[in-house]
Amino acid sequence: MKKAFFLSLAVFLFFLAAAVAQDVNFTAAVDKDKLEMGDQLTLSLVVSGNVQRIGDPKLKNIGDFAVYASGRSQNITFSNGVVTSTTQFNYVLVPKKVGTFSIGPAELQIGGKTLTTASIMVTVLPSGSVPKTTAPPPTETEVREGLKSVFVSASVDRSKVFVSEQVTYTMKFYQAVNLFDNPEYTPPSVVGFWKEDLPQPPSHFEMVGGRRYRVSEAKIALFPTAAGSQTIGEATVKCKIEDFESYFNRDPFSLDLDQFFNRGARERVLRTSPLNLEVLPLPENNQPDDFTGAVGKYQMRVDWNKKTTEVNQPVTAKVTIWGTGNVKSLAEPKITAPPNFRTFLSASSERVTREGNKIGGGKIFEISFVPREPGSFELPAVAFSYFDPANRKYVKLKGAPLNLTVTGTRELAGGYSGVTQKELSVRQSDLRYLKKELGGESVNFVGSPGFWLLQGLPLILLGATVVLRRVRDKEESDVSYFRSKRASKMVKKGLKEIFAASSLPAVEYFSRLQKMLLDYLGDRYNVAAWGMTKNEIAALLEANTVGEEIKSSLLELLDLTDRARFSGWQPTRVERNQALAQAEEVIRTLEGSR
Amino acid sequence: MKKLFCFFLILSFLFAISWGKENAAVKTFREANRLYDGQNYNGAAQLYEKLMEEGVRTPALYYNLASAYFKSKETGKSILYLLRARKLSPGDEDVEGNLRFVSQFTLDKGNLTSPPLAFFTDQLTLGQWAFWASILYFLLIGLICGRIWFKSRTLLIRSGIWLAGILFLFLACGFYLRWSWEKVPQGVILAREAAVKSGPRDDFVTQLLGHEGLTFQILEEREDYYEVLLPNGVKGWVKKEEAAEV
Repeated sequence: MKKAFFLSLAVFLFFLAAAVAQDVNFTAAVDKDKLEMGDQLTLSLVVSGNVQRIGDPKLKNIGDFAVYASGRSQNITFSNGVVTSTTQFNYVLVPKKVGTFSIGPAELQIGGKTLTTASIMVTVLPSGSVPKTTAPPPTETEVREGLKSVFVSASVDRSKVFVSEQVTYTMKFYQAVNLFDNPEYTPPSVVGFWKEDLPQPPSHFEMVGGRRYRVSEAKIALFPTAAGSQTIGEATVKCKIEDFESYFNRDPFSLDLDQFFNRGARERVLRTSPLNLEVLPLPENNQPDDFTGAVGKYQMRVDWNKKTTEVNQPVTAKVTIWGTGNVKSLAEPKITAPPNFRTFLSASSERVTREGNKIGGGKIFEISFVPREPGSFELPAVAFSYFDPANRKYVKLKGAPLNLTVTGTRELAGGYSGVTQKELSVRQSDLRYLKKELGGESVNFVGSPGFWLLQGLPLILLGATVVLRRVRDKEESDVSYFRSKRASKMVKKGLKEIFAASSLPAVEYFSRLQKMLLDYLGDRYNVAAWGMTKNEIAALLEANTVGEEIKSSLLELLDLTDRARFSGWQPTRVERNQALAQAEEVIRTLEGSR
Repeated sequence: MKKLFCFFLILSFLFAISWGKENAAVKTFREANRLYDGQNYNGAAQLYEKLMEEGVRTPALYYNLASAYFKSKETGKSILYLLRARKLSPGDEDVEGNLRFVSQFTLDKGNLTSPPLAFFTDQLTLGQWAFWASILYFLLIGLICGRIWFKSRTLLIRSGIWLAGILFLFLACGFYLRWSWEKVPQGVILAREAAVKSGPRDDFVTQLLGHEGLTFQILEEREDYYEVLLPNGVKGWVKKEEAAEV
């Protein structure tokens, strides 16, 4: 068991040592060492060897070139039991000025080692000083003669476009022979364009020069970002085609496995010609203020999420823009909200479509408006402008404005930490003018004597009313009490009347006096005094504990009145007055005994 | 007869003094307004202040003084006197308008508070609410007394009681709402910046900085400090010398 372990370890260390010992090459190359201003060159850094993981190389001393990374490709081969990978990094270099420049070296870190390429000298000439050397397309004769078993071509759907207008680039790969493996396609460098991949159509067959070719296409949608002459770089296709000559030229005794597996194959690198485009600037005439660079054909819809909100609570406009054009580059519509609102883009989402090789789709912006104060406001219509290249004119789309009601109170700035209010009310721009009259001072009524009087007096009034009403009710419900109480009042009144009637005849005078006395007795003791005999009256007085003297005096007085009424006695004025005085005395005494 | 003559003489004398004083106050007020018109805002403010020292307290005086202070770039004092004017004359359009306007120049936003159901309670001052509620109370009790005494069940008495009762409740509600709002005193920060401390001493932590014109409720008063409740719910202590009670 131990032996097996050590054997395995030894084998592992052997392969590890072999792997480390494997040489790794790192080289740099350019596709041209002479170019003119406005042109570009491709710098390729190639790492080959038995390397599994490769980081990005570092470019040093690039000179006056703008550098754009244009991709990385890797090819792995198995040869003589050794795995070899070739990784190529491509960079597009655009010169900034005329002169001779040294590019590189480039550095790459692998396994703790630093690999370095050699520097490359490149000459940049003024524009127009380098003759064009574009590869001629295959002639029909060449094709017919079978010289072009495979070839590529590149084209664009138009040579003159507006800035941000779509141009469709198509690369076609023609093959009349079988390939040993899938062709390796490197797209063109498209500096100065916004690039979107388009779906690849299925391969088809075309007849060229009487020969049948299988055609594979690669399409890209390009949107130029600046006006002027723009160049689409060359695309390359690397493929392996059948090479019958190699069957016969190879060494039959060679043990080269790579040669064995790739017998009859020949590698071809095909390049398309660079294409020039004329990019027109967008017209400046009639350009709307809110134009943000959208080019294509669009529609717009605006949906507000509410019509009423509170201070500090956002109301959101969902702006949906859809159509054909570079939707990814659509900027949110410019909106000028009222000064007492904060505005911000709360969300956006997009969907890109590629129908009919036209880039399009939709983009949704959610723009939130946060009111700072209550009131009624009109939020302006959301507007979006684009340039329609087909009709060569600007189009302005508008949503509906919103009449918004904001409730609540003005917001409090967080933390009182010196946030400056920038917006002022548009309704009042200065103080209202002074008051012209000093006016009177208002007396503080609350707590004043008048205040407490008005609080207390009604309560006293109510209490008194209730008490007096109860007294009155008691009087009215108790007859004896009522008559007794009424007796003194009535007798006083009667005495006055009799006193005033002293000139009446004796009969009349004494009749009144008698009636008054009997009425008094009746009310005083709650009895029917009329018709009572002298004895009954005497018994009544005794029953009510009236003194003997008063009783005798009263009975005597009643006798006197009977005498005057029935016996024809004519008393003198003095006698009348004496009788009245006696009656007063009796009544006073009886009243006093209550 | 002599006594009565003396009484009327003294009464006339007091009335003449009072009338003369009032007339002098009106003259000073107009002079201050004239200074304001001539853009001498500091001079106008001094004259208005002089009137206040003489004991004059009218909404117009507070209102004009607030305007003079605002023009002198003293926003805190301007808000203070506008709030005092509002207390004496609630619902005054000019006072409300200027208060809204001046408050826009404070650093701390949204600090003005209104009484509950302001559209209703601002119709009268606290004293007016109290006076009319008391009158209706008196009338209501009077009608009830009449009803008890005369034992009257006539429609006139009954509807009178109902009407007076409803009006009394209406006025009593207005009084209560206004009173419950006014019973908590308000204050205003007059300093450009005032520290709101966590306690009534200098060595307590500064919770936040309030700025000129920030209003607050005064919960308690100590020798040098007010305990305050800020509109955002923060409680703290503010130096008296940096603020004033409305």
